[in-house]
Amino acid sequence: MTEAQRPATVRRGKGAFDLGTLLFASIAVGIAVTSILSGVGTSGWAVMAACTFAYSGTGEVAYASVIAAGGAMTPALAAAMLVSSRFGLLALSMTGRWKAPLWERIAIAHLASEVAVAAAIEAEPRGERAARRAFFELVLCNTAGWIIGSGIGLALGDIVGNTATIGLDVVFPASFVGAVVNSLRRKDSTVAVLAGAAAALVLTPVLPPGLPVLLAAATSLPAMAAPSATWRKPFAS
Amino acid sequence: MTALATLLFILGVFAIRMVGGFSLSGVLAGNERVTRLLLLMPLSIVSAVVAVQTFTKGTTVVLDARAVGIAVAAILSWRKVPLGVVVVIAALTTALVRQFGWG
Repeated sequence: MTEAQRPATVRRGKGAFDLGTLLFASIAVGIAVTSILSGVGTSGWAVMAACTFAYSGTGEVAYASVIAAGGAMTPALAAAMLVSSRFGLLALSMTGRWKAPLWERIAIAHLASEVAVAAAIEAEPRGERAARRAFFELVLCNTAGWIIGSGIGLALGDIVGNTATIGLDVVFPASFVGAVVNSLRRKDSTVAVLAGAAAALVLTPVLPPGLPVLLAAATSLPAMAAPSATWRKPFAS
Repeated sequence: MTALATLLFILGVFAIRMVGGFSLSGVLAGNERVTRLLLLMPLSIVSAVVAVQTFTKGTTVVLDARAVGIAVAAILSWRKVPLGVVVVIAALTTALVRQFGWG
């Protein structure tokens, strides 16, 4: 029995254990991003403000990488905005999935991270309420872990030293890899993830940071031509 | 990140999100093709982010210890291992590969 064929009652939201590990992973990501941002001389309160209100880890990493390479504030901010521009698309992808008042639509648009959007899409076959619940459960664990992690990252500061030594730099991409590999179960999403990754890598040497990821979003257009079926049997939901 | 940069960063990202969440939603709501595109687009973006974070350094494409960690993460995720475990093993794997002197 595939995931999609299981009765709806069996597949409720994510279990407490899964959410606990997500919280843990978010803390790890918070620590990783904070240590990168602190590394280019960002004060503690600025790190906390950025992580809490901008809520864009890749944006912070992009900013820090331009500054670390000797860049000025303007190109660094431009890189952060370019990398973060995908959040506009993610916010767009969340519109109209369920009826929501204005304040909730603002919250959804602001909080639409990759993992939360992926969870909502995954839960959608089980109904709007399941999608809404999955989205906000993920958001809650994600933001809480992220803020706690940033705090810990600041407290640890120099203790961690070179974050690459303990593999902190893969924490961020590793937290997204689940959404990517599980997309390989469906034909159209397989095209989307493979073409997206390929486009981003091909464009990286020729474009400023951020643009490759933004342009890679366009690979979802050719993916539309592929059937929305799983590889083995028709998509049943 | 200076005070000014932090403020601009926060306001800029918020503006980007609101443009995405509000400006186009009315026009596109309810269209089946658009709905499907909006399901696929985040996947393209997420995949691109993973690829860039794993295989690039600045503007060059590189293969280093990160690739090993992410490969392990991919296998564990496919086997439905919980995210927290995936993340920790990925980091440890990458750290271990670096200890042996690669990447």
